[in-house]
Amino acid sequence: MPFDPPLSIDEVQKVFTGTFTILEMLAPGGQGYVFRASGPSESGKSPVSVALKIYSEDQAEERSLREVTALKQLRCERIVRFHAAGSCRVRGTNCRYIATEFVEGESLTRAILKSPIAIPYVVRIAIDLATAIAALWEVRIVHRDVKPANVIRVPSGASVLIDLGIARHQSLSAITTIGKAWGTPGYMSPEQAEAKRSLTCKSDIFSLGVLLQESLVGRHPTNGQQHLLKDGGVRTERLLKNLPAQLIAMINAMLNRSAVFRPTPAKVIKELERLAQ
Amino acid sequence: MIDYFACARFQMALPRGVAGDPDGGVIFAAGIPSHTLSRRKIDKTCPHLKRRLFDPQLYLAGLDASICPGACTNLISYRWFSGNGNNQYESKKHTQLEWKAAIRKRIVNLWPGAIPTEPGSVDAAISDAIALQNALECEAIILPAPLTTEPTQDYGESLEWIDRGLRIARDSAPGFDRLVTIALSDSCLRGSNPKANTMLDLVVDQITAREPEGAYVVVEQASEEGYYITHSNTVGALLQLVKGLRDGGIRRIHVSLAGTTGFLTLGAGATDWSAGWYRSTRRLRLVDFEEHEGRAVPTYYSHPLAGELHLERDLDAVVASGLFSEIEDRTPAAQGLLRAVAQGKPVAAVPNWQHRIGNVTAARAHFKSAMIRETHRVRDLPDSARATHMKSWLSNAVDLAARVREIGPLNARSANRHQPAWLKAFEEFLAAT
Repeated sequence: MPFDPPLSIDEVQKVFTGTFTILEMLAPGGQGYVFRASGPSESGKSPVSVALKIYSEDQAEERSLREVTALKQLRCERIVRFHAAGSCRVRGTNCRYIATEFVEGESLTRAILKSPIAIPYVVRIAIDLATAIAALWEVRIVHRDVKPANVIRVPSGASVLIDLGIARHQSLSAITTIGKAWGTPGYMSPEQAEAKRSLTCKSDIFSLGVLLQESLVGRHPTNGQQHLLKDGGVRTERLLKNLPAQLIAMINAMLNRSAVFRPTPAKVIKELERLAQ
Repeated sequence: MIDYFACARFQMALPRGVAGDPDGGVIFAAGIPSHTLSRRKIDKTCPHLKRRLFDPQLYLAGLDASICPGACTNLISYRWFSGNGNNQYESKKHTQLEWKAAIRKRIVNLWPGAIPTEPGSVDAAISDAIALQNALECEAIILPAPLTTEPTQDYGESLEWIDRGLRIARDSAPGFDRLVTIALSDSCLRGSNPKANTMLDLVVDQITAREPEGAYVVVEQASEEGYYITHSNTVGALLQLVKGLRDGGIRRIHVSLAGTTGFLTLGAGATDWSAGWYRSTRRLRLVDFEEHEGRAVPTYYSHPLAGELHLERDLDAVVASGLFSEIEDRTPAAQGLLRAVAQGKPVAAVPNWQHRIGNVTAARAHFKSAMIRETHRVRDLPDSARATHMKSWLSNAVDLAARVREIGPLNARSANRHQPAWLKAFEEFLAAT
């Protein structure tokens, strides 16, 4: 993000006067600035708490009406609620912004830092996130950035997928993303990293596989190195012993190099719910 | 399920003399007007169409009505081509013949020449196509999709139709298998090695991620004129596409209008296929819808050869070379011909096989009989043996075709040159999987 010195709350407030009230900065820097703000609810009655993320133009693509409509259609408790997106000008620079519901809870990154996550919780996380990926795919959106930092564990214990910053409707991805890999190194599917064709939910399923391994082991399976995922993910049994065979098989399938062999979100949910019982 | 479906156009009945029963049939919109189709008592008159599919053929939307008036007249009787439903046949106003003559006269002005693009029109077109298939009591719903003709073309347009179709069919035809149309031109396939064809990956990824119950695959033969696909990349791509769909969990894969390459795809995971004897039901080639003078002449299909022989001189030449015993394909429809050959008589001595325009009933019955027999032979094999069966069939055919070529130049309609490309494609396919 090309702002030096970093953006202040006041100058961001000026940009969004009349739309959002900026309350605090949550994360500055590399992947965009995130502010907690309050903004109008859909009904326009009481204000709601939102996470407002501001990117430079090269960090996020322009959203079409089609995409915004699809994001607004999303109704799933396992995925952050979309509020608004658009373009703005900050300190003379063209930027994009996205406002989503502010989700209270602990990020999965923080939880993993404390210790590896126990198997039953990992299974629960997998089901929650596969539910979120399925909901996104129902409106033909691929999240493209499924990773622990984008998962919030809410007080009820459920996981919520946040940050729709680079989520993309499939009708647009073929046109606009070829040649540039959007996503976080170490979590991208081989086809996402190659940036040769439009993606499907199976790409998010790959990222979910990496996330699950990281949750189980307590560290990233390739230390964040994307090139080690070129031919598919690391075999789960190499990372950890004594896992249920069904879970190993499912995660390995999610990490298949070829998208067609990866399970659909519905299949992940079905299989893991069986395991959870 | 490994099935062979016959192809039905205006003429739906099987030719006399077909041995065995096709497992079902596909009715093509371009071959019969909507009002004629809806008045047919299909179950009564065509028992082989008891299990039936109806192909809405949206992929023909780009036909030029000025040179294909007949096909366009038939197609415009379907609401997904006519849009507003104007110009539909009304029995109180005119006879079917009068309707046809009137529409044909104005078809250049009436024919849209493109698919609908407005969301509301797309939904209406899909709903109409589904409703008709429901009314026809088809065993599954073929969801219409446009033809993809360029490798660089955005497949998004097809996906838009497929997504809408899946949603509408889920609501309006619950319980029916939904077969999404994958209509690709060979110009998207022949230019690159199937393993490196990113379009194939795209199609397979996108379709399988949508989890339809089935796929209905057609390949437009834009780049070659014969009855047999001759480019190994096209054959390989079709095999790869079928395999990818199968690997991705698609339960039913029907390959249509790809000639006997459709049969070959049974070795890659296709569950059913369809192709007729006439070129309009054998292949999808847009120029076939143009109206030319001329009618069909008979040919003799040889499954061992994986091809066929023109009957004016070629079959007699093969007999004279001593090769016929290896090429012969025995079906009841060919009995008279085989008897004559055994007695040293020429083809011209067998009335229903003589090289004569329109004298095709025996050739058609023979072809269909062979396809039914061979499909059921594959059905009886365990899954694991099907690919080996196809490979050994093609290896033998390559050898036979080479020996046939040694006889000397044959008529262009004799198909004895594509076999090496098919074998190459199949071997490369097996090696890659």
